[in-house]
Amino acid sequence: MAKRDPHKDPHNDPDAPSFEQSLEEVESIIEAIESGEVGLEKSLAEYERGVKILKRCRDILTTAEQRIESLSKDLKESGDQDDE
Amino acid sequence: MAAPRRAVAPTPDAAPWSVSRLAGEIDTTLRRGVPAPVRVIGEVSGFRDRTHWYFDLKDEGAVVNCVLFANIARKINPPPRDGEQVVVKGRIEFYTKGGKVSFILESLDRAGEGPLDRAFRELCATLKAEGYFAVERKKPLPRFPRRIAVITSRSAAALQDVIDTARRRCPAVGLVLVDVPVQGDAAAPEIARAIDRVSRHHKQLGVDAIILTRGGGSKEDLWCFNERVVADAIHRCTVPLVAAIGHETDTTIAELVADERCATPTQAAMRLTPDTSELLRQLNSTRRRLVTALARGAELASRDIDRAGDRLASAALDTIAALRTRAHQLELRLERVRPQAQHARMIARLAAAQERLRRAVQSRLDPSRLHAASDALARAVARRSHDATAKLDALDKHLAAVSPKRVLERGFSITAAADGRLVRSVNDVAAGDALTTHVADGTIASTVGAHAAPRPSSPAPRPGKPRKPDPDEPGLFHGWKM
Repeated sequence: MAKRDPHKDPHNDPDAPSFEQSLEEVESIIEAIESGEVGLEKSLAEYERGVKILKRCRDILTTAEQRIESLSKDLKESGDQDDE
Repeated sequence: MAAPRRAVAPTPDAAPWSVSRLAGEIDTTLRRGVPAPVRVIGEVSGFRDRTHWYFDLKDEGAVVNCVLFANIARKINPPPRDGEQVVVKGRIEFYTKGGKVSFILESLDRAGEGPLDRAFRELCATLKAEGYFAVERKKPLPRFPRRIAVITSRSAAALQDVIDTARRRCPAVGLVLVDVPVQGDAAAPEIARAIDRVSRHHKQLGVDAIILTRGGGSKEDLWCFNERVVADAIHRCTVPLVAAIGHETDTTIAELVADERCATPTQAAMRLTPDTSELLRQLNSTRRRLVTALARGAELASRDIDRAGDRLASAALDTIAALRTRAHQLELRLERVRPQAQHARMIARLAAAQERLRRAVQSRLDPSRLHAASDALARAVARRSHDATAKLDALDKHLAAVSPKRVLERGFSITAAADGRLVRSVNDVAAGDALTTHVADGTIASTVGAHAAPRPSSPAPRPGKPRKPDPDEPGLFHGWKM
């Protein structure tokens, strides 16, 4: 296995907020915009940030799904090899 | 038949004998004619124990009365039973007082039984009573002994049989020979000692079983295996012991006490050594079962792993799906608060406000007043327009009347200085100024020659009126010029 390189995989960046933290952040962005206390320009910027975070979250989920499928397949294939 | 040999043959004329004499003669004749003692074999019948034993000895064709006195009967155990074949030894007597012939017995043996047989029978009865033959105390034989101690004579054919059989069936089982004499007076104690020794040291020797054996021989040859010392040694032996002594028909005490009896040395060896080929078959069968069981276990385990893997993956995917749903909901919410939407909402609100404003205003306007105002306005405008038109006509006429062109046609001219200013006074010009004079059909350029003095009165082209409608003469002039 290659050495763990946080720059190689953005999803493994230890400094990055966790998935749940990201969702909570988007939630707070939405609440801030909903409250109407933020100006249009500020809310536009916040909206943009929210979209970015959600996109990152989607990427993380898709990557995770693919990894699970791949690992599950590996497991099955290793079992098939043992049978021989 | 004895009669012709009789010395004293009674003559028919002689005086008759007394009964006693006849009885005496019978007794004498019996004593002389029947050997004493005589051995007779027959079947016991009508046995009666009256301190002395009384019974009949019979065969198919005859019966003889027998008496066995108590001093001899005491030694015979157990007493004979009716129907038993016995060999008795004794002498014939004629009991004169009873007129009966009796066989007075000195000894009684079971048929075919000698003193050894009797000893055997008696020891058997004793040992049986002491529980030596009890099935409960028989030790189970080991299925796979490491070593077998063979107690026999080095020179016995039995030893060779044991060795051959054991080697053939299972060379893995070791054999230890304990060499003992197997016949003669010294044999029994030696055999007993050998059994004791193996029993005591079997752990050090690695001996798991004993074969006590001897080939066939006479009753006397086998006798040592019927002695009490041997029976005792076998009885206290802690190692399972198989005995095979003599031929199949022979049974010895040793064999009865042993944990198992075998007919021959070969059988004893077979009984204690596992058959290698049978073992191999069992091993193969076990191996196949093991492999099958392992394969099935592995398959089950593999299925478990697959199932666990599936569950793991689906659990993880479920989590992801849930997170995805949450993210999607957040997206929808974020979409709702998108500034564009906010903007649109604001526009919509603005439009709504405008509409409300319009309605508010409209509601405050009285339509009839509006119409009245509108009509009044229209009338006022119309009136004003009419007045203005009339005024305009008048003005137009007036204007036509005061048009400079008409004035010029009437002979008047207009002089302007170089800068365009109209010359209205002599003070407006100086000598040498260029002047332009407009007449009806053109212009005349001229230069001021000498400064003129003002006239006492200035003649007006149309006194009283010309300047009245439009006092701004340059404007009028310019308007015309343009």
